[in-house]
Order: sequence, then structure tokens, then C-alpha cells
Amino acid sequence: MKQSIIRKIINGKATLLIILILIVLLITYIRMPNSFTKGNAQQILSNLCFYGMFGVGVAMLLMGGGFDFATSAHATISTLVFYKILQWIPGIPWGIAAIISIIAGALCGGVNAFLSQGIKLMPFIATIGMSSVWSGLAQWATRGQFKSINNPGFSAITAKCIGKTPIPWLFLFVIAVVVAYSVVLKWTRFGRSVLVCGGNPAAARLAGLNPDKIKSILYINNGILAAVGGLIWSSQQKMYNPTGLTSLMPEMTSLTAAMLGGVSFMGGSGTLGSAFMGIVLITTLSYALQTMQLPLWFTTLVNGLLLVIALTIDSFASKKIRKNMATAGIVMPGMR
Amino acid sequence: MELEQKAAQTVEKKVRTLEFKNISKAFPGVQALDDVSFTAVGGKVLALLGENGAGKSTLLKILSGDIPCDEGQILLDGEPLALTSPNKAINLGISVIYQERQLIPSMSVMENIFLGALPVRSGFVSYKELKAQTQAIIDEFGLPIDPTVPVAALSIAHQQMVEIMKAYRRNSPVIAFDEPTAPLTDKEIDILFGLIKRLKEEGKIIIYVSHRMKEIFQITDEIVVLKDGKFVTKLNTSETNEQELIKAMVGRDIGDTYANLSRNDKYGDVVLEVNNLTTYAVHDVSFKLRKGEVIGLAGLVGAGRTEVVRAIFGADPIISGEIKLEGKPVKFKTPRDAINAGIALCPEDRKEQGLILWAPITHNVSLPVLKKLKKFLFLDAKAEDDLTLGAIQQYSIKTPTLDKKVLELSGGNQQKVILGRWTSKLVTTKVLILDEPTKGIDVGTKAEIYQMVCDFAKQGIGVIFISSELTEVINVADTIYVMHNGRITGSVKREEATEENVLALAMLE
Repeated sequence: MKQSIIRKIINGKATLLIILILIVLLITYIRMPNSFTKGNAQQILSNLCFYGMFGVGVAMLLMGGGFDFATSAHATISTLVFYKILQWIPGIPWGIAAIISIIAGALCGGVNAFLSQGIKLMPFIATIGMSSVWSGLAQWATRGQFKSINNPGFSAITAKCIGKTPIPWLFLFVIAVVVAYSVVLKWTRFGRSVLVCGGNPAAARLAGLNPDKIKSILYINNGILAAVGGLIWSSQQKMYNPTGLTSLMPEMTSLTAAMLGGVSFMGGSGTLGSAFMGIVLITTLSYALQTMQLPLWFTTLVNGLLLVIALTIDSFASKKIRKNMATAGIVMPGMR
Repeated sequence: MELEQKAAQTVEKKVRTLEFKNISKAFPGVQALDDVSFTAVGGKVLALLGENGAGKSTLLKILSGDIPCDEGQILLDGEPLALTSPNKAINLGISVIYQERQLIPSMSVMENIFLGALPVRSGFVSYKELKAQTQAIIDEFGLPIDPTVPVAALSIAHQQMVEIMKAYRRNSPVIAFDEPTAPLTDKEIDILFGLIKRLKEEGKIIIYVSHRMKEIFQITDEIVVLKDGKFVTKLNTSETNEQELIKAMVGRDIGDTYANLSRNDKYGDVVLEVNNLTTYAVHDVSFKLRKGEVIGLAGLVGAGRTEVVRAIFGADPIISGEIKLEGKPVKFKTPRDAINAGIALCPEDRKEQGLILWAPITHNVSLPVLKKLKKFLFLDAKAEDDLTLGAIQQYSIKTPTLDKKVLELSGGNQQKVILGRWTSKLVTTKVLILDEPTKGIDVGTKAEIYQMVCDFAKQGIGVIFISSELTEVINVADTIYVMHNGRITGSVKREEATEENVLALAMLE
């Protein structure tokens, strides 16, 4: 009756994803045995750090029944704030600038929380609109130009590895974040409320919860994690890039990953462990495609296919639920 | 002129028939229709009569191709109809006008009326012709409606008339009306009845579903009474009366289920008092509930029973009126406030409003008491399991494990999970509201739930019991308040209640 703790975090979906990751690695090894280098491993792991941060925020929001198309725009605005503060106040420790930039991310998320939960706009459309607004501002601020960020301390956070291993210290931080959020989701009142409000907001409200509040927190949380993701990217690239993040669209990668990991687009189900495994799969796959020197269009095509496949799996899963409801003797409204 | 000619032509033709032959339809947990057979003939209006859940709507849905029947067939002039989809049914000459209007609000009256049959000239929709044709129909009805305005801009009554014109335009040989007069004023009712008479003269087959006795005697020629999904009788309207019809709708053996209930007979102080409660859906509702008392809210679907309890629970806004809990006036802005004050609601739609279907039983039981289950920062999983185990034992919920998903449970067990949620040792429930707790549940579990209701009363809880099944509500509740059209039309004590007097209050004609 009791499942083991590890089993609870990583459910059946994760096992399948691990197998897929191993297949990707195997094919890469067969085709390019020389590609298994320390440098490549480090590159994959630091990509994982970047996508992992976005993945957690997006997956949490999805489980609560929301989605934010402006996630990468939040990240861009946060990195802009970071760059501007370093520029305006010379000698300010980068840590303080980073905290302010994370607050900016939270505010960006808060705007979308207000639009979707406060004045009840359709979240998909409203967040697409805000994405465009923030991107416009981000380009205007530097007149569309890249600005380099020369701060050795800041660059080191993504570059430093543990001893002689290819594992960046930052990777441990990201794993800690995934574990922390998993714990919150599984074992706290807030985490339970997220799944309940995502699963059935009407029932949650009648049972005394406040779905609007829970979702708002998730939007803000998504903004915070996007800001951290943006900082990781700036640290890797050593610059502020007004269009780079929005063209990478890490929220779409996160969406695909979360759905591959069993998070339903309808909200209410999924685990962060398997959503993170989805991120690992996509990151590994696209890096493998790059190393095999396949053209960029091929990667784009594969990413698109993955999203559609994930959506199909989700759709079949919901159909199964509906079928189960029928056999469970639930009379649909208006049947009599 | 033209109509008279048409009528003359149809009289010469043989009379058309629509035969329902051995129709059966089961939904999980309920036999909605059981071997129903009867024939409707052209030139006569046939009324379908029955209580809530008698199977009228299901029969119309089968006729309209919305849902398939399990057994039996429908024959038009002796030819079996293949009613596989609503579109097919329309093409076969069947128009069903539902209670819920099926219009596209943002589109114009003319586009709605000719939906799917817009006049096309050389590849383009001819709006000129469309307008002319629509205007002709509107003139025939004699209504002041502009064919070019969006439907959303019309009154509810006129929207219903547009729906009727839409069906009229198709010139179908079979037209079924499902409570068409509910949103109409007297003026439109006159127009509608004039239309029905004309359609009748044209030899069309007309099926008319209504809860309004007066109308049935005014407009119909024959009456088919359904009850619990079974055909009861077919009568000529001119040879029957209201009393006979109500008896046919109600007459069932009640059995020992209710006689064997162990009831509470000691009432305490008034726990809940509602004075002149008015919301967007209910008007001037007042009643008192004492500790240990079970009051029933009876009435037809749409009478406003659910809306009353949602307002009390803080789920819908209150326009005016006062609610007192244990003598103190209260104002609940959200369900959370009501829950904190000791009110619990088991909503009418388990799936949509009660349960988190793909969450385990534990999560569903602990939902309102998560705050009390906190140990330091985390949820106390053991306490949650204990709580759930308590509910499972108390209500003998049939499940192999605590963390089975509720969607895998039967309807009866799901209902017990919700009851367990509101009666666990961590919640103090003073007023328990049960909205249709036995909907879609088998007879055995129903009896268990009746006894539970009585047991709650014995514990001193005031219970509000809502049900569309008359037998149930008049036998379980101590006092029955009957609602019609958003108002309480009367109250009856259990000892004096009969299905006849309650139904008369609910239909109020």
C-alpha cells in the first residue's frame, strides 16, 4: 500500500524517460564515439541548469492549471534590470543586483497573476500580449544591442566545476531546487492546494480553498524562477541579450518536458521529478543533434514533434480519465 | 392562403406516425428508460409528462440524435430512423427545441434562424434574400424582432422564439418542444400556441414536454405519462383531469425503506435562520432550521433550491436578506467563511463541484482541514491517513486502499467520501447541506444515505436535504419547503406530506 519515497517522487513516467535518455546517449555513442568528452558533458549540464530553472516554474504553474507565455520575457526583463544596476552603481556586489533582478521577475509574474486571476482575462492571450510588451521594452532599453557583462564573480557561478569533474557547482543548486519544490508539492499544505486547485477549482473553492490566490502565487513563482534562469543564461553568455531568451523560448521546452513527464495540460496532476527528467531528455537530445552536426532545422522539427507527441499522450490520458468516470457511475450533467 | 392550401394537401395525405418502439437506455447507475413504447400521430399534440428523472429529457435526446439508445428504435411512418447524430436527425425531419437555447449569441437573428442553410447565390451568401426570408417568418409570427440584430441583444423570451422559428423554418414533420414556455411571457405563449395549432392543422407530429398542467390541458390532445423511465399510460387529454395525471406520475410503492429509518425526535434551538433571502435566482426565501432537524427543499429542476443553499454557503452573492447562525447575523463572503462558521455543503454535482477526481481518497477527505493537519511545515501524512480511515470505517466505503483515486470508486462510495469530508473529527459541522446526495446512486446505498441523514440529526446537526425525487424528500425530511420559480410556495410537515400536495405546490398552476 505504501510506495517508497523515491517511487513517490519519480513515478512510472520517469522510468520511461530515463530509458529514452539512455537510448539517445547510446545512439550518439554509436554514431560519434569521440563525442563523450568532459567538455560536452559540462555543456549539457550547464544547459540543464538553465532549462531546469524554467522547467520547475512552468511545471508548478501547469499543475495549478495556468500557463505563462511571457516566461522568457520575464527572464529578459530581469537580466536587463541586472545589467542596468551593474552599470549605474559601479562596484555594487553582483549578488545584490541579482536579488533586485529576481524581485523584478516576481513583479513581472505578478502582473500576469493580476491579469489572469485579478481581472480574469484569458491567461493564454493575456500572457502572449505581455510577452510582447516586455520584449519591446527590453529591446528599447539598449536600442536592440547586446551589452557585455564583465563581472568575473558572476561569470564564475556557471563556470566553476566540482574538483576535476565536469559537474558545475550550479548543477547541485538546481538539483536542490528541484528536490525542494518536490517536497513542497508532496508534503506541504500549499503543494496539496496547488494540485487540488489545478484539478478542480470549483470543488476546491467549495471546500474552502482560494484558487485565485494559489494561482497568483504560482505566476509570481514562475517569474522568480524565470529571473534566476535568465541570470544563469547571462552568466554563461557574459552579456545582456535583448532577444536571445525570447527566441530560445525556454517556456516551450519546459512545457514539452513537463507534459512528457506526465503533467497534464488541464492541471492537477504530475510530479516535478518526472518533469525534470523530461528536461534532461530534451536537453540531451538537442545537444546530441547539434554534436552530430545535423542542421538547425532538424532540431526545430524534432522539438515541435516532441511537443505534439506530448500533447497527444496527454489527450489520451484525459480520455482514459473520462472513460473511468463513466464506469465509476458518474452521471454526466443533463443525462436524464 | 398558402397555409390553407398546404393544410388541405396534407389532409388528403395519410396521417403520419412516429412510433417509439421498446426504447431502453441505461446510464451508469440508473435505468433512464426501460422498454418505452408509444406512438405519436400527425395532427395531434402529444404531451410527455413525468416527474424529474422520469426519462422525458433522455427520450428527447434520443429523438434528436444527441445520444444513442441501447435498445429499440424510432419509426417515422413505419420506416426505422437512423438517428446517429443531431445533424442526421434534422435531415430526417426531426426538430427538437430544447430548454437551453442553442443559439449563437453574437450572430444575427437571421443567421441563427438559417444556420446551416444560408441562401447562397453564385458562391456567396445572399444577405438580401436571407433578410427577406427571415422577415417573412417573423411577420408570420407577428413579432417585433429585427432580423439583423445579434441574438444576444434580444430578451430571453424573444431568444426562445428565435429558437422556435429556427425549427419552424426547417419545416420538419416532427417537432418536439422541451418546456418551451418557461422563459416566455403570456403574449409570446399566445403566439406559440397559435403556431402549434397551425402546425397541428398542417398534419405535423408535435411532442410537447411541460410541467405546467394548465398548458397541457390547453394545447395537447394526448398525454403519455412516464415514471422512473417506464411507460405508465397514454390518455386522451379531453378524458382526464389533473388529479388522475398526478396520481399516474407519482403512484409507486414506497416499501419499507422509510418506515425502518431510525429518526431523531428531539430538536434543539434554532441553528440557522434565513430571512427574506434574495439573490439573482431566488426571491424572499425565509425558513428556520433547528438543531437535530432535517428540512427538505423540494421543487422541480430550476426552482432555485441549489441557488438558496449556495447563497447561504457564501458561494453566490446575496442581494438582500439576512442569515442568522445560532441567533447571530452572519455574512459569508466566501465558502471558507461559511466552513469556518460550521456550515458544510455537499454540492449537487459530485464530479464538477465536489471531488478532485484523480486525487486519492485521502486528499479528498482532508481538503477542508489541511490547516489542522499541519505538523511544523509539512502535512501530517499519518493523521491524514487516520482521518481517511475513520471515514472509510464510519461509512463502510468500499475501497482496497486509502490512496485509491476517487474516480475509480462507485457513485455511492464517492458520495460517502464527501460525507466523510464534512463529518470527520476535525470539522465541527453545525449545518449540513446535502444537495441531491442520492443522484445516480443505487437503491441500496440510497437507503444507507437516508439513515446517515437521520444519524446526523441525532448528533444535533441541522440538515438541509435537497432532492428532486419527491418520495425521498417527503419521507426523509421532517419539514418540507417547496419551491417554485425562485420562491418558497409552501411548507408541509412530513406527517401531512403526500406527493400530490407537494407536487401541486411545486407546479403551482
